[in-house]
Amino acid sequence: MQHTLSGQKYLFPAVVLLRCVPSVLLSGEGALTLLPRRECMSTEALATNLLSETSPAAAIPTPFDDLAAVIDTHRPRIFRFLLASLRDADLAETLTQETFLRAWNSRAAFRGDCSVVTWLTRIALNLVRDHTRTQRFRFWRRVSSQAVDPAEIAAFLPHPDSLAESRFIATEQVAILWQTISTLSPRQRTIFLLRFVEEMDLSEISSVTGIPLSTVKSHLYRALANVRARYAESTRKAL
Amino acid sequence: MSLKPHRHLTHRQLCDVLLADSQETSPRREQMREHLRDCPLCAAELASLRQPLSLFRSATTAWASHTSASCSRTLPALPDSLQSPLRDGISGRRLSRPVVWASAAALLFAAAIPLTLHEHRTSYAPTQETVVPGGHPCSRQIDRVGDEALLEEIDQTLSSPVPTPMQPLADPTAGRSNQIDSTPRKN
Repeated sequence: MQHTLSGQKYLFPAVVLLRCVPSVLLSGEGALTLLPRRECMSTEALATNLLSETSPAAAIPTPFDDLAAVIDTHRPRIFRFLLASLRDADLAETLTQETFLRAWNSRAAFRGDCSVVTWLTRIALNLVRDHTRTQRFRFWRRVSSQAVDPAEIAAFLPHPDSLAESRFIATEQVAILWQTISTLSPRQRTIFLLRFVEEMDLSEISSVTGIPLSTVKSHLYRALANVRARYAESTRKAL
Repeated sequence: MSLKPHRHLTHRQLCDVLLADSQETSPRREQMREHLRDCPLCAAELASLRQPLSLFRSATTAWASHTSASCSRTLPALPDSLQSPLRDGISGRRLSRPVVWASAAALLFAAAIPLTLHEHRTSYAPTQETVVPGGHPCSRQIDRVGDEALLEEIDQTLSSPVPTPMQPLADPTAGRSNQIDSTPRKN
């Protein structure tokens, strides 16, 4: 999938090039190759790459000292959140790696005030915000043209052996929800996904987003009102 | 806020039920739960909201897992040399450092060679006029010694009372009285 997003189009190759320099110096079996942007990295590869990053903060022990374990545990969740937020697997993968890179580089700042997953989600959310802020127009044009087909998501619905009619209804429901979420404001969408995909508590969402609890609730009320309105509309059309 | 039997749950109340922790207990929450048990309309409304959300979460989770797994399948296996540093955590950085430094030193050395050659050329530049162009410094020194020997020989020849070619005539039998020179003479 092509990333035609301006601005970071030039930034990413530069960042990748800079990171590749120490890797290029290595040769033979010990060579660390930073994979190009669109390729995914295994947990080991990602952890190894991050460990090779130079950072002054290594004296104070943090949960990130066992980086491979942290990535193993939290990577699926971070990737899922980014994938649901951005709807672009390549970009989600890139930002997932960037999330762990930032977490590693600023691990000294982790004081244990919140859980590791909350901290990582906060970093991931900041990356999404940065990305959508700088690439807002192209991003939304791409999203509105449905870069990911809802049917593709619905194909992953559970109970594949259920009745065809039930599956059809379930597919319709997921498609409506998928489209409705794309019409929400970025803040509402983030809160919605954190609550109903990541199943975070409201207080946890408040901590991740930095939004007061009452505002989080208000956003969820509005998002759910949108969802109900869309379902009511589709039901009317069906009748 | 008390709930009357004939009044349905508002949007906010439905959302509160949806967002609430299932183990949360409060009088207000209990009233709403009681109402949902008694009111099929509100229960249906809540179910119509809860079901797609649950489906959406399942589908998104499965989709993300599938996408992530398909990405990982395309990766080449890591070399064994990288596995142990990874298991050792931070020590992986230490292992890779000497290689980096060695590579950097090799690069610096490679970059310094042209500079050194340039320096050599400039230091020999003043003597280039007296030396054959492109000649090696050692060969130049040998040539100088040869020249001096030749000049010495010429000096000796010139300073001798009888020139060397005329010496056989000056004393034809000197030291060779019993020998007959049979070699042909050349002019």
